Parts: sequence; C-alpha cells; structure tokens
Amino acid sequence: MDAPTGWLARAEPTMRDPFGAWVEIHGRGGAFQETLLAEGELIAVSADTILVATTDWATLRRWATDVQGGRRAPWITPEMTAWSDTVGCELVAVSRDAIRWLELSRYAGTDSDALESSLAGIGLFTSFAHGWFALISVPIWIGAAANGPPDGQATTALRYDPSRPSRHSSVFGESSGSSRRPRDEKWESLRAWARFPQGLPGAVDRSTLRPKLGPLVPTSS
Amino acid sequence: MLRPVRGPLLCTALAFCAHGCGIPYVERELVPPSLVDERTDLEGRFLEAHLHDGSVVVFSHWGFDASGDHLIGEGETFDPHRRSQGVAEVSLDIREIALVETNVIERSNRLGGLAILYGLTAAAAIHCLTQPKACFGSCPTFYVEGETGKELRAEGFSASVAPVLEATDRDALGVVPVDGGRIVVTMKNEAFETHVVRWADLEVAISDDPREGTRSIVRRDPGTDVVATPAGELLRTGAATPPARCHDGVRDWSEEVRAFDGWMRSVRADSTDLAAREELTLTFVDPPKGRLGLVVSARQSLVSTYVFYQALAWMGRDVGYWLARLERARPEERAAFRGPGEVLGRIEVEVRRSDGSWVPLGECGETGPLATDSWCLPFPEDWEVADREGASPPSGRAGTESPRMAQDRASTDPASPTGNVGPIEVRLRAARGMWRYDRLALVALEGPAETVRLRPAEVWREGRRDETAEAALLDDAATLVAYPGDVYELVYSLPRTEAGDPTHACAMLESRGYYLEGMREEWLTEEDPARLVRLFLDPRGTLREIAPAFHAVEEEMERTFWSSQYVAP
Repeated sequence: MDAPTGWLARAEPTMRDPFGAWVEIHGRGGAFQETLLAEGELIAVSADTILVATTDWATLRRWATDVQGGRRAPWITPEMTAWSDTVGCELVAVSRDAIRWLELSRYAGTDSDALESSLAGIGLFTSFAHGWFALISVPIWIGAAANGPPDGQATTALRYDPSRPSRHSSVFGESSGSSRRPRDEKWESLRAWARFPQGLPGAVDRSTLRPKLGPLVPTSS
Repeated sequence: MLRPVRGPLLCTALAFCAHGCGIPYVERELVPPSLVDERTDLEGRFLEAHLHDGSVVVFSHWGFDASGDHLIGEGETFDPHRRSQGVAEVSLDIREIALVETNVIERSNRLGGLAILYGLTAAAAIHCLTQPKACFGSCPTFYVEGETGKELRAEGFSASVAPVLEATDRDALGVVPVDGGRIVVTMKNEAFETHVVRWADLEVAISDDPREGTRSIVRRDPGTDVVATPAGELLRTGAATPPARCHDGVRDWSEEVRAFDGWMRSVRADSTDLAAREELTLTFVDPPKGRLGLVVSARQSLVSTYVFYQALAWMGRDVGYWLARLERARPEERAAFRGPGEVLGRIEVEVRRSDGSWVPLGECGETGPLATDSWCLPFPEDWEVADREGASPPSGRAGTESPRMAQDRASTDPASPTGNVGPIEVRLRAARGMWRYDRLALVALEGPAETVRLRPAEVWREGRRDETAEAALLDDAATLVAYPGDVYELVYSLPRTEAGDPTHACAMLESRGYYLEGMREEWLTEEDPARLVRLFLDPRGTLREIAPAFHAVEEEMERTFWSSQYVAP
C-alpha cells in the first residue's frame, strides 16, 4: 500500500530528511500468488538482505486521514509521538532472494502533479474530437496522463524487479565469468534511500528503533 | 462540429505542456568521505554525513578545513533514532564518517519533454536512430602488414553474437608477408564488445614443384591466388579476367569491380524495403581458359549492422533475458532469430547457359561490414561445350553448329585455345545496397589447394609474450577473452621447406568463437519487445517498416561508424 498520507516529504525537503524512504516489498506466495512481505521505512540494504522498519501503519493511516483531516502535511504531534513510543516498531529482514518485486517511494509529488493528472484526463477526452489532429494531440495527452501521479499522495517511485535485468547490467557483466552474483546497480541504488546507507551500524539497538511518523521538516516547498 | 475549438485546444495542450516543465526531482548520490574534497561538482549540494555510529549530520552549508581532514559547517545532528540533537557548527573528522550523501534538486521536463518528443518526432528519430547505431561494432578484426602499413584483412565470426551461435569462420587473408619464416597477424578488439576466441589458425597454401621435386609455400605470384568456395574448399586460381560490362539496369560499374583495390561498387539500400532485391549482370567477353569460377570479393554495407543494433535497442534492458532465451531456445526458435538475416540474404550467383537459361552457381557472402572477403563459385562440372560458346553466340553461328563442331572450333580458336568463348553472362542477385562489391572476376580453376594448418606459435600483448593467451588459443577447450582495446600479435611459424623461406604466402584465417555486444545507453530508450518479436516473426514486414529510417541516415552512417572505432587501426 501507499505510505500514510503526509508520511513522505516532497522533493526539496527530502534532501534534508534523515529518515529512509517508504518501501513496499512483495514476495512469492505460491505458484501464481504474491504476498506483501513488508512495508515501511527502508532502514538498510546489504548485498543479500533488506531491512525495513514496520509498525501499525493502519493506525497511522487512520490518524493521518481522520485526525489530520487528510491534509498533506501532518505535523508530528505529541500524541503521535506517544503512540509511537507505545507501539514501537519491528525491524523486518527480507532476503533478497525472496523478493518478487519492491517499490520504493522516495518523496511525494507536488500539487501541480495532481492538477496535471486531472488536466491530462480532460485533455485526453477532448482530444478525440480533434479530427485528424487527434493523431498528434491524443498521444500527448496519453503521455501526460500516463506520467502524471495517481493522486495527491503521488510519489516518485523506484521499482526493483529481480526478474528483470538491471538498467545498468550489461552483457559485459554477465559474461565476466565470475561465480559471484552479478553486480546489480539498481539494487545498490536502493541504499541511497535507506536511513543507514552505510548498513545497519553495529552500535544501534534494533529493539529501540522508532519508526518514522512523518516528515520532520515542513513539507511546503 | 468541433472544428472551431481545435485552435484553442491546441493552445491549451501546449500551455499545459509548458506548465508541466520543470517538475523537481532529487538526485541523490553516495560518496566515500575521502573523495568529497576532490569532487568539485558537489559544491552547492545538500550534504548529509552518515557516521559510523548511525547518527547523521545534515549540513546547511559545508566545506573542508585547511588540512582537508575535517568536514566543517553548520548542521543539524540526528541520533540513530533520528531524534534531533540541535543545530550547531560541526567539525567532523572524515574518519568518523561512514558515507556522505549528497542531494540536489534537478528539474525534469516531463510534459515539456513529451511535447518536444511528439512535436519533433522526425528530428528526434533521425538523431536517436542514426548516431547510436552508427557506433563501430564488429567481431575480432585481423590485420597483416601490407604495402601501406597494417591492413584490415579479416573479421572473425561476425554473426556469432551469443555463445550458442559460436561458429567457425574462414576468411581470405590474401598474400601475407613472411619474415624469417614467420607470419604475424594482429588481432584486435576495436569495439564495445567482449570477444571469446576459441582458436585463430592459419591455413597456408603449399605447392608441389614437379620440376624440383620439392614442396614449397605458394609465393606471391601476380595473377594467382588461393580462394575458398562458399563451402570452404580451397582452390588455386589462375589469372583473373574482369567483366567488360557490369550493369545493374542503371549504369555500368565495370571500373569499380575491376580489381581488388578498395574502389567498390556502392549503392544505397531501397528506401521502402531493406530486403528488396537487385540484379547485377556481368558480361565477360574474353574468359580465361580451363574450368571457370567466379570470384566475388565483397563486404557488407551497414544494413545488417543497423538491423542488429535495432534489435538490441528493442531488447533494451532485457537484452540479457533475450540472449539467455536464445541460449535455451529450441532449434525452430533459433531459426526465427536468424530470420532477418535470412530475409536479407546473401549474394546469389547464376550463369547463363547458351540456351538462355540461368544456372545457379551458389550463394556467397558473410556477415560484417569491415573486411572484404573473397569467394570462388565454380562453374558446374557439366558446363558443356555449347555453354563454353557463350550465352550469346556470335551472329550467324547460333543454331548452325553441332556441339562437336563447336568444340572443335573452340579448341582451335586462337582467342580461347581451351574452349571458353565469350561472351559469358553471370548474374548476381542480392538485397539492394547490402553489399559493397570490390572485385568480380572470372578465373580459371587450377585445382584444389593443398594447405598446411598453423596454430599460433607465440602470442604477444603489449610488447610481452602472453603465454596464457597462447595456451588458450592452442587448447580447443579453452577460450581467449578479449576486451575493448585489446590487441594481440599472433605469430605463426612456417614449416621449413627445401625451397627455402619465402617472402610471401597465400593464407586463409580460420577463427572460431563468439562475441557479446555491449549495450549503449542511448539504445535503452527504444526498448520495445513487441517490435522485437515482430522482427523475428515477420522479418520481411519489419525490414520494410524500418527501411525509411535507415534510408534517412544511411549516407552519414558509414562515416560515423568508422569514426567511432574504439581504437584506431
């Protein structure tokens, strides 16, 4: 599922955000099924494992929607902090081999994204009346609609699918003759969006970690 | 009905696209702390220093002290739980820092880019399709010392673009210099590719000298050569006779194809169908004596290269998947992979009998646009006396002579004492613009050529003997892997003969292996599995579809192709 409303900062504040991005990891649940393995804040990424901080996101989603009125920038209130201290969080380790696909939501889209989506839909509808000119206008509007964010909580996402070769994996890499797992730059690019890009520090007590509740900095950009 | 509103709608669309330009996105990079000081491009970026203990300092501005050992500036520190420890002036020893994270806002032209993309399709298509696919590419190239320095004489196994397509390739090196009983062939990887070479052997023609009772290396003898048939049989050929006429229905090309001199017959591909055929009719008025063969010296144009690169572009990021699929494909699926090449086809050669019918001599040609190769297509063994009379017998004799009479006349004709009387017509059929013909000639076949096979005696690389490479080329179970820019000198030792060391020899190169093409970043934008599948399932239709795009860039391609060579020869 998407991150709770307001959980993600927008692009500019994200540059100063010390937390990890929102990640949603799916694994194989059967021959034709997939199951949600974890969702939450990306804590660390190693060569074969990904660590995710999870908590009672359903409560936080309700909180963001009901208490904060669905506003995009819920400030972290004392009540939320108290709730977080009570609930705590669980650090989930997911083996890379168990991942069917994951999606990393790095930051929230802008208001103009939502506006563009709406306009793109209208534009696409009206362009069918353009006659021959529709050959030009329809693709433009389709492109606009396809690229626009789905809703106000739109994010700039990064999808990782191990069944597909990395954008940067090359024939050279696969032909190196090495028995090691080929270097997967897309997997490694996930590290930059973790709370601890250097890996989970040994000094950190996993049991006391607290989840991110929302942006620490104002989200108005 | 809505005609009046089209203008406003267009304006709205353009305004909307303009509004969409410049959507911000975050460019994030992880940098080792020791390198931050050297990276001048990081100045002005937001910087977070991740410390070994899990805390992080978010700098609002930053720099290094005079020693370069401390990252200093104003920053907010957060503990591992991301609780703020306040904003303060901070000085961090870079040894405390595990990683530095830099962030900068870039602006994407998401919708503006779309507008430009759709609005300028033609220009973008030319740019995107021309330049990337004009990049130099080939399998291993082989050079020998010639009159003007090292000359490109062969390219090995050009069609072997995957391990499963590993193949043996024979190329005519022609006359090669011999120095102290040794022949040196330079093998290069000049493209963004990985070459896997199983062997690279020479076949050097030898001859028996009945007068001396000795065997010797066939020396350089103007007018004689050793040429391979398309089936790989080596034949000794006598003096070559160029065509008096070489016509494609538009003009005569006899001057261009007269000699193996690099001056070639070159025409553009069909603008509507890359597989469209053309015919070239050769007329030989003064054929040589003896059993005849047609020697074709040619190389491919960039048509096949373009199609191959287009296929890779359509594979895009999934190129590994497709090549792996090719590896495990069933034979019929593998045949589909070869479909585009088979539709483009090779050079079909036919000769005209005296009764006007055309008899196929076979097909020749080899994948690759770099080195010119030669093939000899022998005339049929049942080439009859009447055929030797030529396709268009001189006026007044046709139909009035018996075969016996013709044979008698031909054998006594001072112009052709062995019975071949011109004119003889030969026809070449191939995809238009697919081949660059350097030499087309009739030759008299002198019989099979006896050769001695030589394996590299020494392999040199960067001025030093490379025994590992030697061992790889001598062991058929092993391979030599060459990377872009690699150059190997292969040294072959000729057997000692009683006739002494020659100064030149006629040689063929037999190489075996495969290569892996590197993907270009530019190609990834064209990923389109549907069109890729169509290329294999309907190659003829796809070759028609992409013909206009190739035609638009064809003239510039060759220049760009050669100028993008990884290492100049």
